[in-house]
Order: sequence, then structure tokens, then C-alpha cells
Amino acid sequence: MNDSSRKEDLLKLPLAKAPDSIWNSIEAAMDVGAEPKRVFRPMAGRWILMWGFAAATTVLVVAVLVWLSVRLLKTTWAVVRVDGKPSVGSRPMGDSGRIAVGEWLQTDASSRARIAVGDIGTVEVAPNSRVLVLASRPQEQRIRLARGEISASVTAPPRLFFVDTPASTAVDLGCAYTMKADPDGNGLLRVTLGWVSLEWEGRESLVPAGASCRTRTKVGPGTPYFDDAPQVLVSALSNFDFGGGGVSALDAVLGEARVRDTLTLWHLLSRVDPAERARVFDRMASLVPLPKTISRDRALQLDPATLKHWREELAWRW
Amino acid sequence: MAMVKRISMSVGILAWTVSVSAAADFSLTIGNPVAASGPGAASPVDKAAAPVIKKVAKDALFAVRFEECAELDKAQISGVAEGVANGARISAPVILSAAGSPGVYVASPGWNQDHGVWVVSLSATCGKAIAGALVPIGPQGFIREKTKLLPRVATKAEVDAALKALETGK
Repeated sequence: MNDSSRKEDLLKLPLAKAPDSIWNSIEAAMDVGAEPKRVFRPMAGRWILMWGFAAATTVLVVAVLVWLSVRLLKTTWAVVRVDGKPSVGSRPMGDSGRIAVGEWLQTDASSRARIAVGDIGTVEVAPNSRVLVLASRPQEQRIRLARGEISASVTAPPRLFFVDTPASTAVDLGCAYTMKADPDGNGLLRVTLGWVSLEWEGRESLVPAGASCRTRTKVGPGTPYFDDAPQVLVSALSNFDFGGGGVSALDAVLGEARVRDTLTLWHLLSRVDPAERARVFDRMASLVPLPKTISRDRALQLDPATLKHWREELAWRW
Repeated sequence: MAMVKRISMSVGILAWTVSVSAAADFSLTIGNPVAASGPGAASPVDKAAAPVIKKVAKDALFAVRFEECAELDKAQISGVAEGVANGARISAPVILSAAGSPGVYVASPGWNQDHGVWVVSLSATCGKAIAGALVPIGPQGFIREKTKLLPRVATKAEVDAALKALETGK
């Protein structure tokens, strides 16, 4: 039998399908000790890349939107129209809107608006007022009252909210108050809750609830007085603070002062001429017995710790 | 040895005398709420304490301070409001909140102030010493001129008299 006849014989053999068990055993034998199969599927790889890219893009877009919205919310305050047609910037506002740092809110004779100062409180803007948002930062929320009147109610820690006026700055110490500024820039602070510090170029008036304080351009805050103080005292005080009333005005204040008016006298102690200081001290001591811890000499020397302690003690009598 | 004993006895007597006299002087001061929440009293640098003080101060009636109490951490205070509304005698709770400074509290109403007349009876202890106060409440807050400071808790007769004075406007 030559090779050609063998080939013919082989071609005559019938074709039969091999049982599955044979292929399974062959594959099992090949897998032993072999590296994991690396199957390359061109279409699957492309899908993974596309989905990955889409997911990354979505995450990026969401992050940018969140960042923008947080930034927007932090640097703008919500404003609500209370009455009339207030305007923000150069445009009249609807029922509500937002005001950004650097923008003015203006009310006419018949309009009012309420600003939400971040999450620390509210400022209601009365008619005929102009208010500028100066700063909105975690450590400083500041507006300028150019003219008109605002009512502020703040629940933030002290020295976080400021109202600048042409004549002074009202520093919130935990309080509610109204602040007025006339067209000349002169103003009046009236405190209804807590304390406000009225400051200008190193001059400071501490004003508690129930008290008021005038302020004048180029002079700064006057001396605070309780709203129920005798009218003669209030007039004399205005004359002393802003009218050059001198000793005669001081005499009237000392003569009219009641126990509660030691608030006023305490401020005058550091504002009168040194020659008059002892008179103010003696009047205070005659109205409220001097605490054992207060030294006359130190008080007359305007020792800051002594004055602070004395004021804290006097407050229990207001 | 006898000398040491005598010194120990003297120190003991002195300590007892100081303790008794301090307890005898224990009292309360009642004042405007601004005294408890002012700059210094509520230190502006203590930013964490400030909002608490303000929250209390919004409806505060008055502030109260312990005097001559050496152990403020063991001192206690409580209060009850006694009132007459629509002809009926009523008792109501008074909320006393620590104001930040040791021994200083702010009293807030736990009742509807729109109706009736009210006085707050305070009771405080400092060790074994007791002090009390009877504080009439008017439309503008506490009435300083009619406030009574007592070395004990106010009696029912004193509360009744204070209420009657408020009702008659005397």
C-alpha cells in the first residue's frame, strides 16, 4: 500500500462529531499551568472608555455647579420686597431677589425691603433709604447706610456684623437695633436688645438695650443715654457732645442724672476735661455706692480694667 | 504639743467663723438683663457663648447674680412664677439659664405674659445658706422698686401681698 492509496482510503472514512467530553478534557489540560486568558474585545474596551469619560465629565460638571452655587449663595444675600418698589442696583426688584457685594438697595418714600444677611440675621430697610453691601465673608458681614433707616436683628457672635454710616460704625455685640442716617450723614442709634458698640476713629460708645446714641459726621458717636432719661439731660448732653456746651451743659447733665444715667456718666468720665473728671466720679458715687473693688484713683486715671469692671457693676443697677 | 492643739483649734474656729459669716451674707442681686449679656459680662471673645446668651436675652425678664457665695459650682437656684389671671391663682415655671459668667443667670417666662399679673419667687442655695427674692413683673419687665431680696424663700403671704399690690397698682 503506497501513500496515495492510503490517502484515498482515509478520504473514504465517514465523518463523525467528537463527544463534548473530549473537548472539555482537552481544554482542562491546556488550562493547567497556563496564564489567564487575555481576551481582547475591541468593542467592549471602547464602551468602558466612553462610560468612564462620561462619568468623569458628569462629576466635574456637578462639582463646578456646586462650587458656583455655594459661591453665589455666600456672596449674595436674599432680599424680599416688603412694600412698594425697592430697587437693587439699577433695576426695580420683584417680590424677591438677591443683592451682591458692591450693589445698592434703594427704597423710595413708599417702599421697604428686608435683607437676609447670610444666616446671621435680617436687616429691614425703611423708606427713603440707600444701603450698600460692602462685605460678605465668614468673619465680616458689612453694609453701609448712606441715608435713611434700617432695623437690624442679628444672632451672630459679637463683632461679626457692621453697619457703616457717614458718622460712625455700629458694631453688633449681640443685639437688635435701629440706625438712622440723615442726608448730612448724622445719625441716631436706638438699641432694643443686647448691646451695640458705636465707633469712629478710636471713640467708642457702648449702647445697651433701652438706650440711644447720636452720632455726627467728623465728631463720631456722642454719649449714650437711656430712652427714659429726663429731656433736660438729653438736651444738655447733645449740647455737650456737639454744641460746645462745655461746663454749663455738663452741670445740667450731672444735676439731672438718675441711677440709670450712670450709663451716661460712665461715658462722660473719659470725655470731660481732666479738671471736671472728679465731679463726674463723685456724682456717680453719690448715685450708686462705689463697689469695694473700685479704686477712685484708678478710675480717675481712666484705668481700662477699673472702668470696665465698674461699668459691669453699674449695669446691674440699670 | 499643747501649742499645736491651740493653733489647730484657732484655725478651725476661724474657718468656721468665715464660713458662717460668708453664708450669712449670701444674697441675690436682681438686675437688667443687659447686665448679664453685656460686653465683658458676656465676653465678646467667647464667641461660642454669645449666641446662647442672646437666645436667652430675647425674652429675658431680668438677670440674677449670686453674692458672697464661695462655692458657685455647688450653688443652686430655682424659681416659680405666681400669678393671677382671669381671677384665678396660677403657678408657672420660670426658665433660669446660665448667662456665661459663674453665678449669673437670666430669667425668662414660662408663661403667657399677656394675661394677669405675675411675680417670680426665687430660691437659691449656696452650701447651707439660703437666699430668696420676690420679683414683680410689669409690662416693661421686672419692677426694680418693688423687688424684695430675702434671706429665705418668700412665704405664701408675701407672694399674695405682692400680687395684690400689682393688681391694685400700689
